[in-house]
Amino acid sequence: MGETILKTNQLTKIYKKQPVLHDVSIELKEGRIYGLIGENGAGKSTLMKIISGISFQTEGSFELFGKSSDKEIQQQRKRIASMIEQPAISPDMTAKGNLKYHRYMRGIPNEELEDEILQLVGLTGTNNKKAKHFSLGMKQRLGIAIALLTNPELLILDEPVNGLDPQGVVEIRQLLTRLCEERQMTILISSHNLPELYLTTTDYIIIHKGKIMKQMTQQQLDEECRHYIRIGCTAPEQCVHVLEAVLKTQNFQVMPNKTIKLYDFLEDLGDVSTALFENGITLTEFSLQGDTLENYFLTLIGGEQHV
Amino acid sequence: MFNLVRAYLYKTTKSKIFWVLLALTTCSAIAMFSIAYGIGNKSINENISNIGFLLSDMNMMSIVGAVLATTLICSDFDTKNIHHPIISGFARIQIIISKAIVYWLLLLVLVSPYIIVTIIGLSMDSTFSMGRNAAGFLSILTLTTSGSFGEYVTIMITMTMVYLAQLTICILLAFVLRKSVLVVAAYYMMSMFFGQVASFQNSFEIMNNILSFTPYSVEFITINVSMSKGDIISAVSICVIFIIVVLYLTFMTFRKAEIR
Repeated sequence: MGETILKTNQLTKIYKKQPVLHDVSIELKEGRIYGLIGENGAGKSTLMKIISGISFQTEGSFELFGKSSDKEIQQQRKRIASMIEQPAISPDMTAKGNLKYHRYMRGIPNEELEDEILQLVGLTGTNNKKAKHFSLGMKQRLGIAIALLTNPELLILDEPVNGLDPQGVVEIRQLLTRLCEERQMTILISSHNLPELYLTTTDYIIIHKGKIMKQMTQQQLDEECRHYIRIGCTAPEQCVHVLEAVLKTQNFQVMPNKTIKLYDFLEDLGDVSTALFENGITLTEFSLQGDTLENYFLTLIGGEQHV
Repeated sequence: MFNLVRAYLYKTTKSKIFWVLLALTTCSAIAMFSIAYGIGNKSINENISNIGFLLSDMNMMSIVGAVLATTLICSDFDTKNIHHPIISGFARIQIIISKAIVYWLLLLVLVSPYIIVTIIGLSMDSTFSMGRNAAGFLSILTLTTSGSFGEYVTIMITMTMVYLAQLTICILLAFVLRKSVLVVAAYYMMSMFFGQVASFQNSFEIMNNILSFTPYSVEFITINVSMSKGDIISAVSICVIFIIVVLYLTFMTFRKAEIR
């Protein structure tokens, strides 16, 4: 695990007497892509805004690159870039004009960088077209281009693939993965497109009604969402004996409710059911189970125990 | 902060609105000059002086200055561009000061047509008049009878300073109200109010005392070469103090403000 880039300590935000964030404590490590998952109004954008400095926490604190005082955090923000809620672009300027404006603001002398970044996000050839005439996808790309201009160490993106066509989604995914691998960039990304997020991120932060429900790595998620055969029967002990003696497997778990999770023979359900049936076991339940990220998220925020 | 000033200058001068405003002040300055010249030489009926006054710097800068503030500040709230300098690590006071510097620089450009026609008028051996209506550079043009080059420069710099101070309130309005329409309406109403109040200033001692500490005082909007050095210094000092107070108030409202 790399250096800690961001650490929040019980961040709480109350807006118009309504709690928006409640005791949010998360930690982001260098070179990883974090997917921030939550429903609309869960507090994703608020958390990103607080980190970026455009909103303030009511209680709690956070460290950015190991610095925690307001003045130090403000200085450390030079190392981050973000695109929150919608791409903040100047509609009356071209893509290149927008990048020039941000290059001046950040004091970057390299003019060639504008063309390089436009190429990186696939916006070459927009020439004199003003940003107000761009499609939503093109605006998203320009927003990402602006964020990448400074080669940030922490990139915060709120719904970056919103409005992109399928090819654009793949391109942005590949770009983010490459930035993470090649430049050790840490990325915090929120999206409602969970299947897409699953392909992009290395870690997940699940937020619901302002509270962090879970922070986990993709490996942990895969483990939680692992596919298995769920076996319910009248005689679990006998069933275990059949699995060990006949099917020669120990890759199973007996759950507290006496159902069995079998992680082998996922492609050969017939073999398992035949073996159990031939050994006189009466099945009450026999099905292939396992979650996608989407199901896992829904189960988690639904308050039910994940199975 | 230099980077911010440069970026804001670049963005605002790329905006069509700025060039439309400059065209507007240029045309109005030429029209005001022509009418004042015509009335002064009795080649135009004095009845037209109301139109001439309408096109004068005093009226035009109220509208143009407010619109410029919306282009420079409110548009950043509309497009969320205000996020960028904050995320880039600039302090909010730096953002306000940079905006103010760019605002003043661009106001100088916008008021320059009036400065130019006033210089041309003062260098001509002609009489200018706008009937009983005169304020701002128009008052310098119509009320100045004789003076040295140094005196002309001094009163024009002072007049420009008065405008910058008066219009600095638009920065506060833009950061507080954030919506273009509200800022233009609020400042125009304020300028109308101060204009009316200024005309009764001498009748009410309290009002006189209050306004004399602001750049909206009638003494400052009718500057001419007859003013003493002490009055000029007093005008400049009040303008500087007023600017500092307004910028401080802007900072106090914006320093912990939520940005949507």
